Amino acid sequence: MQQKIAVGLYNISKRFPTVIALDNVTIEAYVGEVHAILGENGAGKTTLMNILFGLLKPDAGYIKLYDEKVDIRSPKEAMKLGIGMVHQHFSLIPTLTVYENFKIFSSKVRVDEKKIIELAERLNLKIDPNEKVSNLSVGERQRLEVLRLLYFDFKILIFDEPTSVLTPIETANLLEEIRTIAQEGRTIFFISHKLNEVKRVSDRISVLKKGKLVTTDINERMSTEYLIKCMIDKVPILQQKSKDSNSSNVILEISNLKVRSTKGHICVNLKPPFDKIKIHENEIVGLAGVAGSGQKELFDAIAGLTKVLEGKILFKGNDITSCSVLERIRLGIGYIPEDRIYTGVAPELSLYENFMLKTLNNDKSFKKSVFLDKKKLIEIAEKLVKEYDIKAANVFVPIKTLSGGNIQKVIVAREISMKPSLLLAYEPTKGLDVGATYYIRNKLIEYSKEHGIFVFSEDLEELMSISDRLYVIHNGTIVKEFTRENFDEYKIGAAMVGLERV
Amino acid sequence: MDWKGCSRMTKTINFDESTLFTNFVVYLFAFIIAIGTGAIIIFAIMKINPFSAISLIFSFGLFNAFGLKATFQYMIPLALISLGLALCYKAKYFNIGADGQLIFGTIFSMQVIFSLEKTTHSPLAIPLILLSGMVGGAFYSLIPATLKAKFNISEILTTLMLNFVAIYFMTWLVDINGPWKDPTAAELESYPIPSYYYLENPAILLSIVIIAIIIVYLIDTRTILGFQIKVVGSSQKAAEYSGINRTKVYILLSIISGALAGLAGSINLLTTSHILSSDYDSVYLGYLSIFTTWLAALNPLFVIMSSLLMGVMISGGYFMASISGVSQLFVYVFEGLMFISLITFKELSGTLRRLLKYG
Repeated sequence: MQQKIAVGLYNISKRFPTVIALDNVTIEAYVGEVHAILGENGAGKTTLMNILFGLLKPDAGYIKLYDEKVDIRSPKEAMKLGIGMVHQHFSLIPTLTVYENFKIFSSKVRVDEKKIIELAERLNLKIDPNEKVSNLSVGERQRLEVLRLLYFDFKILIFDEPTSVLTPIETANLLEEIRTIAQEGRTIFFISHKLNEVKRVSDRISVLKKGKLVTTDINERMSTEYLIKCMIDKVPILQQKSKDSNSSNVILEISNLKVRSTKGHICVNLKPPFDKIKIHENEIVGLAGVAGSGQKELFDAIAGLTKVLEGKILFKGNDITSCSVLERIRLGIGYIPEDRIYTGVAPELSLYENFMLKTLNNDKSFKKSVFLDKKKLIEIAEKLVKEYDIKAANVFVPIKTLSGGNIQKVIVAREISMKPSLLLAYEPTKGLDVGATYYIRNKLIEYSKEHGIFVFSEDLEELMSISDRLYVIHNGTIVKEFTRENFDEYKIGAAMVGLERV
Repeated sequence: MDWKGCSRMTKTINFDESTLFTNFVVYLFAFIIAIGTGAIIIFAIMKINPFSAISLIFSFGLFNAFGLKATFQYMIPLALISLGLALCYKAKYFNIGADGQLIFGTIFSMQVIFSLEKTTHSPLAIPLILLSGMVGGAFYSLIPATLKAKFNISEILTTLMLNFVAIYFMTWLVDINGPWKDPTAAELESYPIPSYYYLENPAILLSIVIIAIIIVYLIDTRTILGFQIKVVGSSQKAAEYSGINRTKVYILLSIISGALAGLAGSINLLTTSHILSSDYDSVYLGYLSIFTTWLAALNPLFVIMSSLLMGVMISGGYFMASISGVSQLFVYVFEGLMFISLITFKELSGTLRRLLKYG
């Protein structure tokens, strides 16, 4: 069957001052297909889509829609041509209702509440048009965004990393929905660096690497291994954990913990049967939970950044519940925090100064009498930059000039170099590309051979691949515990949304 | 290897080649714009040749013996206050209360002078007077710092309000029935300090400033406190996360900056004013120091130059006013314009560089 080409991007090139973002890329997408664009961060996926959506102008090449050459100069023109984009950050206005959000989107098309409900039902989404968007969950907002594009009859939809904020179940729903709407004769671009999602959702896959198109082919014809090989030069191998976690040394024991959030409600509340969290030496314990389940506050409480209302935190047998952050750092608790740019590093300070952010409080050897031993600090920073392959001009540049992935590497390098007995890792690989992700996972596995690690991640696959045990947190309470032998994605996912209690 | 070591040297003072160049260009532009705007105003409103007026400021402020002395008298306290403010602003602790701290330094020094007078004169008296000024400034600066550290009350409001408290407290001291009012003086003034406490040797004054610059520079670049100040200024969350005690940082900062402002007040008393007056003409040294601090890009090494420039403008301004008939207030207008064009140009230069980079 000859398929009709909906979008043709031909010989697209785009150069930025320091880098060639796209080099002669040609991609054709058919009517009715989900076309995935796969690639590492910085491979040019988003640049390509921004060109299609009129946010950027290509240096060379042209675009054809339904066999007609078009010149898309702004998002407004793109939308006029029926191209809609679902961004990583939503464009809904939270203070308005669903209905109002539809209404402000277009002044030409009449918005009808009934039609919204009908359309939503077709996609198994229950929605009240008079509900305020701020009352909806992140997943619902994401789907509402899609719904809005469908309502206004966009034929070409671009999804730019749409699942990065969703839970596994919400992700599954969204992927299902994408398949459905593609079959109705639309063309979907699905941009992602998550292989499993791409495999699940797409008809055809194009792989970009460093601005070049590596391959385009039908999904079924490409194996996961092949795709990884296309995306990156070196195929990463995840170290296998040696299975002897029957060490008896408990590093951390938390019991009956209660924490109040900044908004005033109880956001961590450990109660039986899982009123205790225990982490042993030489194991990685995972924590799974949907956004806002209290995981951040739990980690902050262990690190001493949040006050504890009730309960006890024992570290190597000593009660540290009332210790300051500094005392905990000195005792050996490392923390890779959720917010990297403002918490994990001091953005205006240089790379090497950020390496010493915590070590300084900890190690007297950085001092020569009253002054800092700068030479030594710089040497250490340069060594870590090399060891962790951090990309920066030198160690004196302000850290905010580095990419998110490199900042994350700096934090991981600093925390591990301090050799904490317990490392708290909150989303250690969020936003990193495949190469860096595997690198950091391997580092964590290696580090866990002698130390304890408590890791939270929204990526279940990651948690299951590196953890020895796993707790599931729901509404601030641990609802289930899994050991490595009985990890099961669907059971864990169900527990995360509170479907399966004990 | 040589060039590497060299670049490291420049980096350690947080000033690499490109920013040094852009800063220079920015300042040059700001200065030209300020002078240009000022010139237009003089010409349009006062019908006076602006270039002769401006050249009068600099020729008197720099190349005339009396003018230079006056320049120096302003430069010393401005530089001392600016050093403390540079540290404060690095921590984004916006202390605008240097005037209050300066006044309290002066009051403390005055109190010590009055008590010393009853005993015999000693060579240790002057250091003691200066020290008491530092204590007075630090004491007054600890009030907003404590409020900030304990209750997170905006230091901008507290230091500003405390300036008025200090000014009116000083006015009360020399008011008609005030405790320090000199009944023989026609004006509202205190008793003058004895002449053997006068401190007029420029070498001593300059050494005090240079020592202060070296100490502040070392604190800034070589100590843990300097590092912690920068972390707090960059991100409060990062400071908390890395176990830095913010309270301690604010308290130490306020002690350092308050002591320097108090020292400035004390020196001003011994070198220039010799009395406490309700019409105390150094009252705005604290505000002017905010400008000189920013002009020095918060760099303790550049404070001496920005203070010199400000000193020239004040002393030369008085002279210009008396010679050319341009109001002395014009100099204040000029300073304000320069400050505004400076910050505007700093912003614009960022945009300009981005434009050049990304087209």
